[in-house]
Amino acid sequence: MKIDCVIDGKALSLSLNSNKPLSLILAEDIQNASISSHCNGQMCGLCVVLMDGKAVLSCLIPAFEIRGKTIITFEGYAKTKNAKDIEKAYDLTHLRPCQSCYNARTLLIESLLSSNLTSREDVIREMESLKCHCLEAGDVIRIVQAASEIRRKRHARRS
Amino acid sequence: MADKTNVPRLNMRYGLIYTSSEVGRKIKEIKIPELNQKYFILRAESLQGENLLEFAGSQMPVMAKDAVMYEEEPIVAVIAPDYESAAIARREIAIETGEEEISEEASLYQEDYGWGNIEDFRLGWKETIKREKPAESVIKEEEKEEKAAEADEEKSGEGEEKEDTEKEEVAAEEEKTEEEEEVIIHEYKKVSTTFSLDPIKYTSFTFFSATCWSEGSSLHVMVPTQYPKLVADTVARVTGFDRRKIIIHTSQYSETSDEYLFYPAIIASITASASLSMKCPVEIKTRAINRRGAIKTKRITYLNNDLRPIAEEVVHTLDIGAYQMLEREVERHAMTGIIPSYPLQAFKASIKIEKSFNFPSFIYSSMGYSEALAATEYHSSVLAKEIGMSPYEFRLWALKDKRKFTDYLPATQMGDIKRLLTDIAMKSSFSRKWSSNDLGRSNPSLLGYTKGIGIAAGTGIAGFSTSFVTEHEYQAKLTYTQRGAIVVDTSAYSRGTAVNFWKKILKEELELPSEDSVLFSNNDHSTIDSGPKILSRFICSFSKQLQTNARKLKSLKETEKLPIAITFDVENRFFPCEFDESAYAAMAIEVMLPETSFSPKVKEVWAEYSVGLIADSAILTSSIKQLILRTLIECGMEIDSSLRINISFVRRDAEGIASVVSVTKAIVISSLSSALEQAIGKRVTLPISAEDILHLRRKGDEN
Repeated sequence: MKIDCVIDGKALSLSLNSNKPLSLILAEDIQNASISSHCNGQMCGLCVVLMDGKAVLSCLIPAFEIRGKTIITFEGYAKTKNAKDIEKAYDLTHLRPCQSCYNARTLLIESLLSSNLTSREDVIREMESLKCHCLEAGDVIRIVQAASEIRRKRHARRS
Repeated sequence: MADKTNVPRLNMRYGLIYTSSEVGRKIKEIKIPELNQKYFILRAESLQGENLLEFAGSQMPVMAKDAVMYEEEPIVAVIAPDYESAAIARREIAIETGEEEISEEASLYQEDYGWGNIEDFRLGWKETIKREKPAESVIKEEEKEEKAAEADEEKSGEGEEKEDTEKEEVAAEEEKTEEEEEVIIHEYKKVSTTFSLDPIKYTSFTFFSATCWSEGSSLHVMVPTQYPKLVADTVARVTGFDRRKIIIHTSQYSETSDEYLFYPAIIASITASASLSMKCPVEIKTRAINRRGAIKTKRITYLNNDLRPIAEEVVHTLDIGAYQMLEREVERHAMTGIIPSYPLQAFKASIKIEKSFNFPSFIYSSMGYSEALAATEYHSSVLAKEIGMSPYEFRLWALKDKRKFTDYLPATQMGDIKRLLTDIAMKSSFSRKWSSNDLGRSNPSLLGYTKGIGIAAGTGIAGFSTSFVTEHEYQAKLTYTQRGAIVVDTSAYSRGTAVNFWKKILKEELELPSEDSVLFSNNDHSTIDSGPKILSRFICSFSKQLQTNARKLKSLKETEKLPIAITFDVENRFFPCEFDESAYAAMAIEVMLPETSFSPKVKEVWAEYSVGLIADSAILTSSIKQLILRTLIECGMEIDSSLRINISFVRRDAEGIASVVSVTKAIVISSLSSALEQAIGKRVTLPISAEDILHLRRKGDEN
């Protein structure tokens, strides 16, 4: 089956099995280094990607669902200015996710920031999709709030 | 940082590993489906070199040849044009094994250590009592009088002399009975515990891949590894390729329990062998695995009349998995943790290392020290309860100012630990909570939950033992280049804050313009073997060794022409004990057990550390938090957003970087065990689940 989609800004036409999970497509067909997890739906939460701006678990997305969608993986996201905001928030709060969940957590935070959801409940709900407990809930809230503030200031300067 | 290497994808072949769950059986036949020339099947027989992984004198096969010894043991590698084809081909493979299980010796290795004579305490203490006229002797006297009267009647005709002598004998016997001392043997009060940890098998959610390709005369291997030198050595041994022409590229990884230590070396050597056979780049994908075997500690403490512990005997049993690897070193680590900190007149410990048909499990974030220390600390808490004290009060009462000097640990000052314990007890209101929880457990239905609080403290160790270091050479190379830069040659995957410390030391000692002049070369031709994080005592002692050798290099620079190089031992070979203490820590954990779900929840954690140099307390706090959370999850705890972890540090006069990993793991396990025991009222085995707690509760109700 031929599937057209945009992955990390590149328009691609892929020839795939229609039920192949997105996590395997990214790891095997695109050789995306930022996705190494495929838990077969065990909800490890490490395979998060942004699909049309929303955070999704790529191991639960079959190939046919990505047709015409824009996918952003951490590899593509890490080069953006938005990624720098979250990076600065990590430095500012002296809190940093572990290496195994770094990519997924950063994309989840981005999803929260882009949807303007920074309340305690929203953050806790969003982070529940990640099984890694390297950071306490309170710590993640601090990071999100710091990143939100950095982004707001950046936007204010630009305008 | 991971290497930035462009892997040639052209003509790349992809592979998967075939394993079998029929462990402990001989392989009769491996049925391989008919495949075209695009596929390649690799078995132990097709390896070009030796089918062997070797580390510090210990050996295990890379691929199963005659028998399947553990479930994850690679039997066949299937190489195909893509992963999907490889998966389909792997599905067709079948293995036929013998019906009889290979016999295993129950105990393979045993080591004893101790002081004093434990037999004296097993038998009990003797008390000598002088009895004036016990009831039995009065009856005997009456009998004697009767006998004497009878004798008088019978012997009335005999001479007076005889009569006199008989009377004297009776009188002497009477005197004897009056002086008789009775020896009563009193048994010492005994407190015995059994501390058990169930096995943990860790399989990472993330895949890792080993990629091999040839470029000119060299063989490139790209794999995530904590030990690049081991990968290079194993690839050379398995493929028979020239060791000097193997280039290792380390890809990014995140190790949670040292799963990237030995397993990547096995997968990389299989990949390299397939790549050389097929003459094209090969990538094999799998998941990282590690396992901690079952641990059981049986301990008996003998108490004197004041209820002070005076003697102790311990049997510590460890399951090491399918292959005996570093069993002597594992024993040393476990023995260091088993020796208690309180003074004892006699002590006897036996470490038993057993084999099983499981993944080799000699390193799982620790080599047995953490679990052994957890067992010791847990026993202290049980002892306290038996004596009628809180665990905190008991530790202050039982610990002396200095610990006994043993072959394993020096006579460390216990004052630091006592201070940490007091701080933690104050912060967590330990004594109040301990007594109120005990009261609350008697009537849980009133509150709808039960709570428990546990406390533990200990000394951290890191690295290989002194005996191990003397047996195996671990060296580093320091080079002063012509351009004025310093190159430290190391096989250690040098990352993290420790490297910044070493750069700082070298900059100061050699008066360099900036820390950028110090380069850490972590290539495969290096001369240092650091091993995993938990074993790297070089984190502690390397800074001292580096400082001394930097001074030597500075003096050499005055007389010699650049470049100059010094090779030196990474660790101190002449240390009088097996390990040196690197940090002290104390921790209290509060748990809550809802009466409806029985799902154990951690409410709050308090931890305090006494350490030497701290590079960045924020980063250290963050890494300790991660370690605490990971250990709690490993123990089956439920973590929710209300959990609070309070960590603080106390600086002490010590040079070098402290390693807090081993002690943190130990005190988390031990304080959690005592907290759960208080909440449930029964001995627990970690990891624990809601079902286990329900089972324990029901058992209690039946009784």
